[in-house]
Amino acid sequence: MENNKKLVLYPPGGILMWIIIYVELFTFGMAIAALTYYGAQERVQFHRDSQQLNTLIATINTILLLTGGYLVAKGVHLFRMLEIQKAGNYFLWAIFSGIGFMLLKLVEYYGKLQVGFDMEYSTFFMFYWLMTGFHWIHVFVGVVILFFLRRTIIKQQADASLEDIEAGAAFWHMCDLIWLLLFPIFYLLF
Amino acid sequence: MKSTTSLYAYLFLIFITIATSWIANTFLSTAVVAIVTLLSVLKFCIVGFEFMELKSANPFWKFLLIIYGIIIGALFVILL
Repeated sequence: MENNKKLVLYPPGGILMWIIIYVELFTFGMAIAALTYYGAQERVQFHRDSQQLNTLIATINTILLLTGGYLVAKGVHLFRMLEIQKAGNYFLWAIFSGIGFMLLKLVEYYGKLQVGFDMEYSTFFMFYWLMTGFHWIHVFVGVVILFFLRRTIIKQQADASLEDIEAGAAFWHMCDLIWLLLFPIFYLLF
Repeated sequence: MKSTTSLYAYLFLIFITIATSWIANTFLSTAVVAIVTLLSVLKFCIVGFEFMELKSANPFWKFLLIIYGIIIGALFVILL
């Protein structure tokens, strides 16, 4: 199995998952390109709007997602080593980090809505709501996938499919990848 | 995935995240865009190679991820 990973048709997590990952990256990439283009056109407005976002919350959220990514990677590693209980625990903590991200994002969303920065406020906030909202849904789906992966690991022990676990983990890491591009463009660069 | 390698990668990612936030909030310069972009693309690649285990995958998948990171990074630097 490990040797298969060197073949182009067997990336870690399976080729179907990687096709999904690249379709998602392409979709977000197009949106990022559009955001950057409009940002260059309305530089002052985008800078002013970007200053309204909370960099501290976004930094903590980035750390939460990276922590979740590390815990999932470690969980997959432990599962391969047949340390099932430990793997389950790592997945559980990754779920908590995902929930932490979602809750903190909701706090941020609530604050923005309270002061009227909704989708119609400006071009920047239209992109902000669409792209971070779409990403939030991905994280939610990722948490649900991690929950079921953990349940499978705990119930089926070593009989759980490694391919399924790697595919679920790859989806979770995709959420990291997307956020690592959204974080600088919305919070740091304008 | 070597467990210790991944831990070092994780700690490095946290360090870069805090560093980029600090740099972006402290300095006002066009060089900041390039530095923050470079560090962000670096984080993107580390997650792909370490956490998603692309370092043990076929070079095609590594190449695709690096090219994607470079295109997005170039977009940031050129337009911003």
